[in-house]
Amino acid sequence: MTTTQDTIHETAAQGWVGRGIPQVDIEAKLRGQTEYIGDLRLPNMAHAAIVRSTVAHGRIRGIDTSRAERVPGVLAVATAADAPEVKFGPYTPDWEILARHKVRFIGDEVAAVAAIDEPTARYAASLVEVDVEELPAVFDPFAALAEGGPVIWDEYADNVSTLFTIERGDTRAAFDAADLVVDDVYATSRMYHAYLEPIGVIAHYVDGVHVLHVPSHIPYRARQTYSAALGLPLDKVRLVVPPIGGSFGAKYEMNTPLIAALLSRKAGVPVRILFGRDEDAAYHRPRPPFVFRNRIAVRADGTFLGRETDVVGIAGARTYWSPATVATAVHRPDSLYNFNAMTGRGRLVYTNESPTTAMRGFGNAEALFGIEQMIDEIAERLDIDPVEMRRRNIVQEGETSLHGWYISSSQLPACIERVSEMSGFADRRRARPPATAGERVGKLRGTGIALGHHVSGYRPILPDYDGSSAILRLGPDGSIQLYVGEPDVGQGHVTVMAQLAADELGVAPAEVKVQGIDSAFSPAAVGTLASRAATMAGMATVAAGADARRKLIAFATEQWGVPEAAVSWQAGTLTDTTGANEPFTLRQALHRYGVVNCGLPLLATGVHHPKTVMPDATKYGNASAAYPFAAHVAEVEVDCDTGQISVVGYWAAHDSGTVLNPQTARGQVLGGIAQGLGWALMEDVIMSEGVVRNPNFLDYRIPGAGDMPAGVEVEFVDAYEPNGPRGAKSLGEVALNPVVAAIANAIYNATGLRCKDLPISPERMWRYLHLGEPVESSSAGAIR
Amino acid sequence: MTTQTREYFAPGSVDDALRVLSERPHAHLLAGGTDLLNDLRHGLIEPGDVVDLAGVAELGGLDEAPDGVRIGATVTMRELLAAPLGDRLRALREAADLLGGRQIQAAATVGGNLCQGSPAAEVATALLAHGALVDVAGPRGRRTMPVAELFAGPRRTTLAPEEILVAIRVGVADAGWSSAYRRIDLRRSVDIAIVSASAALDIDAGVVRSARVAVGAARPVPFLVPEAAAALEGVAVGDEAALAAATGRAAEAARSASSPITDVRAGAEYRRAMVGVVVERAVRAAVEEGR
Ligand SMILES: Cc1cc2nc3c(=O)[nH]c(=O)nc-3n(C[C@H](O)[C@H](O)[C@H](O)COP(=O)(O)OP(=O)(O)OC[C@H]3O[C@@H](n4cnc5c(N)ncnc54)[C@H](O)[C@@H]3O)c2cc1C
Repeated sequence: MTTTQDTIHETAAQGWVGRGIPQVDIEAKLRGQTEYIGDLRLPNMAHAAIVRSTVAHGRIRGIDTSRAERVPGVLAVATAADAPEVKFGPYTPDWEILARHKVRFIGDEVAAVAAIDEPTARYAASLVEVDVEELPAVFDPFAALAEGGPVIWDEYADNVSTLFTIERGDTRAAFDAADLVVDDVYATSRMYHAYLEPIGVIAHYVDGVHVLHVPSHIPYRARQTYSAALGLPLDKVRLVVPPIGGSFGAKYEMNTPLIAALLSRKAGVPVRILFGRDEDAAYHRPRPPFVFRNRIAVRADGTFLGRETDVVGIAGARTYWSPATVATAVHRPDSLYNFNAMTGRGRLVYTNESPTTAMRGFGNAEALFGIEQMIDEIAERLDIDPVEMRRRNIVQEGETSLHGWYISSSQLPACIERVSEMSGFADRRRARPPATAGERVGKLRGTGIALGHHVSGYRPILPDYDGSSAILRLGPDGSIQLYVGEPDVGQGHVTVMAQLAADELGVAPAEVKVQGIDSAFSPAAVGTLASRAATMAGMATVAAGADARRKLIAFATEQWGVPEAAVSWQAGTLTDTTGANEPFTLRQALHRYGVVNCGLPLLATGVHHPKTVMPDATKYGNASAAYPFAAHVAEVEVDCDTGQISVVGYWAAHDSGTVLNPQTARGQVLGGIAQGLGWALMEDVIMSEGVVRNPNFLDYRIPGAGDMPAGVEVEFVDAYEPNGPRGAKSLGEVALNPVVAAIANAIYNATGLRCKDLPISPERMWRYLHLGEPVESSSAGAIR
Repeated sequence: MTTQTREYFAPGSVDDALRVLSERPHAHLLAGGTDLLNDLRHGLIEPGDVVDLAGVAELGGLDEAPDGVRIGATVTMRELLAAPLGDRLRALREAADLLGGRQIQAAATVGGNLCQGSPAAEVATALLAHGALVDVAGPRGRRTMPVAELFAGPRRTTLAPEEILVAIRVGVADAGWSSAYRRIDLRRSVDIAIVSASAALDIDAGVVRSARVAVGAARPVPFLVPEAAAALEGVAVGDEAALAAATGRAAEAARSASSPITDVRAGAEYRRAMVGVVVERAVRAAVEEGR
């Protein structure tokens, strides 16, 4: 079996793709020189503070801003009265820039103050008086679904923000034919994205245009939302994207840029909103908690016959990007395993809590937490090896999965084989987990496996188009600038794009300046989400490089007056093979091009149309360009006295096609493991009565270095994806997707206890060990 | 908004510091600032004058005198860990090593940890188990008391606003006891104890002559559990059955002496159970160390 280590050497000889060069912008980041939104200062910039609702649900009777307005140093106070009365929102028109008639959660944005400095803004904000008639509130999704409870949006009297249903094949027949049916409920927790850089924005209103400096990684979609909210055409809202200090999905789009926009227009100066960590941790939009019921029908030989799933997710009080994650949770597992027939329903439910939004893994990681554990359970009940069980049921390369998703490449079987070898899975694993409380003493070790997959882009994200485009600007001075619309969120896309462009142009990556994104001159891209940027922007970059080469060859042909076939392009040099002319280096050619064209840079463009289709009314159709896969094995040690769980070993084998940069790729996998470990064992936004109880890093714990196992082994199997740049496909989310399930399966192997609720904290584990088994998820009763 | 001016003072001696305090009794004493600055930032304490103790030489230094070890109040965790203490004060060193991460340890002081008044204060149970005394300077002169008398409740000590903790002292015999510190936390990186315990044992010829067991984060203050100590006294550490029984009794005594709370970090039931576990572990580790 060839691994990346081998392939790197092979491809390195041919160029920059495949080399583990450090991220091109890493030095500036390490030196603290990168200018994030919090480092930017515009002349006369004012600072804003948000007035938030202190009640979970209520009718606004009045807002008195007069005292706040009189505070010296206050430049503007905004309320809903300053916003156009329009309906908007990325999925459901339930957004407001500032709450108008009702407040719907503790933290709901009611008013905002811009002042000469932050303390003044905060002080004035504290003087805004909001008169609210309190209404009964609901915090539990099942209580919200029950009839007769509080209604959060009159338009959605059943409190269902989004209903997603899907049906494929004859599920009833599948269950009738089954030898075994497993039926179980799993629940996942609310997760804080916990990026390094808290939420921030600077808005500036210039010449009738709202300029928003905002670290969104879907700036084009965000601009659609923002222009709709402001009642303006697209070109009256300009998004400038500074370097992004992490997001994991939280920074797609929010109402803070809109609040800043209202204030800046009113105050006549640029206005910054910058959250502190406590405001960020309490009022950003977390990952939605999910409850899943899954029924799986299986034949005695371990073949899956059918699946039924019912998913309830929490929207909070407004709908952000959770509808897409609910849909994902319901039907994406069907392109990892062949369930043959399925029926699914997903409901996204309003509660009087801070809205939730997408997070890395996007519903798929949540779904796999349950399904991967159920597969282990099926394997155990049928006495089939868990690895074999998976091997038998996975969707294979060249197959079209249940919902029409075409698996153009899959080395998942190789991933399974490699991770089993790397971890010594068969020997490491306990043959039989402890069956009685008497056996659950001391420190117990166990090993678990889980698979994961994802997409490389997702066709329905932007109804207008999929794909990507790129512009290369080759200046007469020899400078090379690449414009793509997919922002780097910190994972290294800038580096990978530079590597891809460098190979096309025969230069070093350092010579390619990948430009920051500005809607005034960048392509209007779908964005960096759904693990699509490397695949989509990568393809567009390669296409732009090819276009540049074509144009350079055409230029040389014209300059030299030779037939085009006589011009050769080799490693950045144009040669007249007739020998009549001196060769052009790229630099010379560009200089010459500028001279001939009165200073015009050579402009090359690339457009990539992926082979995706918009799923039809039944949600059938190949929604993604390519599908990445992974197999992970975790080993844990459970301290039965305390319930503490340590991950003591971790092995990951991935198929991401060609690995464009092994260093950034490995970073993605290590980060995914750390994030998954945190989700599995400790991360949970604790809420009671609508209040976040742990809005800080002391009580919202994310794993530190000491929690990661030493010597995590990551390997990329030899693979090639025909629909990706140089054979590459995605990696960002698939790196997280199997982690939580692998750890949970390891815990079962160690203890014989199936943990169905996240996080599996020491206290929860201790309660399982000492106060009775977790026979069911705490949410099981509600969804059955 | 308050317009009152706040001042920063950097006295060079304990007397100078006391003089400032006599005029401004509500000034904040600043040692490493790892608690104080966070508390100010989060509005847990009122902004006010600040008296920086960094320049007061008498508050620094870790010295070994014939009568024992003296630890200046502003000795940092890092200085403590670097001190050539050999086998002595192991519980204290283990506690210092678990406090915060390396950066915090470079700033956090022993005196600051004690005076912050956290029930979970890392060095508190260790110093209780070591039988430490604290020297306090105030407007009416100096006084010395057992460290147990310093704690008054969450975020409170028995020090008057115009008093300063000068040093912590451990007698030469006490410093030589076998000891250990253990805590239960929710992750393996920087964290605050769910509960913690220290045990110090005077083991002579294989028998526990005297013992001290202290528990943290299970009552409003860190506390000694004399019944736990009594359970261990007289036990031959080589007799596994006897040791196991005594350790079990000590754990039970500690559990009974606890009245933990439920908060976002843990429930009272779990905390109480963990008191037993952590006491057993601290005792076992101290016995191991004494072998
Ligand atoms: C990231 C982080 C992690 C932490 N982890 C831990 C941990 O694991 N365990 C733990 O116990 N703590 C932890 N802490 C809390 C803190 O670091 C410790 O309590 C530290 O020992 C406080 O010492 P300091 O010198 O910084 O005190 P300061 O913040 O300077 O002072 C603390 C309090 O003591 C008073 N004070 C200081 N010196 C004296 C004196 N000589 N006389 C009278 N009063 C005085 C101050 O006025 C103030 O009220 C952590 C803090 C942070 C920020």
